[in-house]
Amino acid sequence: MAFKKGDRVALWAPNIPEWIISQIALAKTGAILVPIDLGAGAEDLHYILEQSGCTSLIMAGGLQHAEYIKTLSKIDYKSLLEKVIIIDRKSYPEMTSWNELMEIGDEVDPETLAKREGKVAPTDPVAIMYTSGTTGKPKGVVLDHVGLITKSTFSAMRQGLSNQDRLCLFFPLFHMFGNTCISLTGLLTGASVIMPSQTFEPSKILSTINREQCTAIYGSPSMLMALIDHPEFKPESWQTLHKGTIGGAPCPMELMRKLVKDIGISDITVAYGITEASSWITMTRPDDPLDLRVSTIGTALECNEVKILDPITGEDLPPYRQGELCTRGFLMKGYYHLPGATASAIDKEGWFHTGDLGEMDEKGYVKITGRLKDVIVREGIEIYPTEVEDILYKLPGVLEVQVFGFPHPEKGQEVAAWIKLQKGAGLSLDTLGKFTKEHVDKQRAPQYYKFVTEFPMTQSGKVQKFKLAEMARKQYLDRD
Amino acid sequence: MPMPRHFLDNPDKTIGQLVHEVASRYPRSIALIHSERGVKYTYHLFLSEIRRVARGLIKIGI
Repeated sequence: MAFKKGDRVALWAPNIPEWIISQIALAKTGAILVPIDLGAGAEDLHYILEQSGCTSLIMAGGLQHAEYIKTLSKIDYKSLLEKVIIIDRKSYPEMTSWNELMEIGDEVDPETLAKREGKVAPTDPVAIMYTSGTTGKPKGVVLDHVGLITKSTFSAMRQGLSNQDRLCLFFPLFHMFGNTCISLTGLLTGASVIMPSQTFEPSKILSTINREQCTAIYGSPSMLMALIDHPEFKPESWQTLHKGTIGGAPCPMELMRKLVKDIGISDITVAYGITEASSWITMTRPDDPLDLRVSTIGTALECNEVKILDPITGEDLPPYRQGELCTRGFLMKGYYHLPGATASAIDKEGWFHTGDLGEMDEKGYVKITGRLKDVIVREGIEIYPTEVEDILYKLPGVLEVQVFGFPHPEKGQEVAAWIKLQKGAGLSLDTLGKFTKEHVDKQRAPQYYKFVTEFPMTQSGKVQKFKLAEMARKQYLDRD
Repeated sequence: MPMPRHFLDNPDKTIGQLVHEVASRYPRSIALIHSERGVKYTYHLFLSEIRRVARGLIKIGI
């Protein structure tokens, strides 16, 4: 049997050279890469292997004690996979080792590979990356060569990268930030990709930045904070660093000031992207003033469009009005085997609706202000849960508040506030009622209040508001 | 203009072809370093490893 174009191959390993070598080798053969989250449990692994229809898996044994092998053995992988390739010093029965793979590769005529490559088109799918959803199972985002290449190229230009740069890569490779925004972007520019360690280890990262004279750094604000707050951090060892990108969360002013002014990473950018848009959508410019690099996510990359849409009327909104951020250009091909979900995410004119709320100024700089699906519309009035939650948090004894909407036959949605109290707090529903009457205006006030001991959560620790809505609907409406 | 300009002239390429072009252009430049492993790949070596793995994948006929 031949390794066919379009075969799905899962890749499950920490940050090691074999990850990137596999990524490019698979792209050459026309196979489709399916990255697996390092923290995947048996259930997640099984779901992704099955949903993507992977025929094979390239994996590391584990970080220390063959943990990945143990997880794999918990599922009936032999019924799903034809081949497992193992990157490990130890050999495993019925698995092909990385060295064997290379040795048998030598037996194949280079012409055979050239022929195979000739059949691969830039618009062919090259990867399916699974997004971790707070609402249900992860969805497989199907990406093509041209999308990843174009986004990498334009973001490299925005950052001012050249083949002289040395990009420090510690963001996990299974994540698009790692495998596309750093690794692929660096390689397509002819730059050097510098990997300090298999996982995020501040001490090893710090010594590598110094020894290898990295010129660009990439990470989330919390990763960068962990590095510069580390006892072994010396600002003088970071003199070669001038470029890079911060993404994943808003960057606090204090951190940005330190990075740019004190440490001298003068050209560092802030960016916003999603897997469905083949990575970055907006980015600041290397010479933007600090406040723009803190309060905004920059402007649209030149290869894609961005607009802010009124989520109710569907009309384009003028500057400084909050609405849903939409983007067009070099999007995913769709969610794998989920045509319904694809159709509801990409409209007829080709705009992807991100579900993020934002606003744009007249120069095109975008601010993110929240998540659309959390916004409640009761009798035509928009209610932003975080605004009401912030008021309720002022009450002594409140530990956690969830304000959410649930479907209501006449009002469209009704509003509930469920509250977890601190241990021993003596807050009563009466006190709560009086407080909200005084502090929350009538149009936005929740109709129902309840004290609870826990909220339904995802594995990654995010509250599942859709589950709360189901529970509330049953509790309050089935009774009416 | 920084280097990526080159690729804008070739929007009809695949990832494999572009990596090949970069490696042919800068064979002696460093593509990849892994400090913990203590390994270093020039673009020439990097491409040759990719090609061996790609051929290995074809051979085992997954």
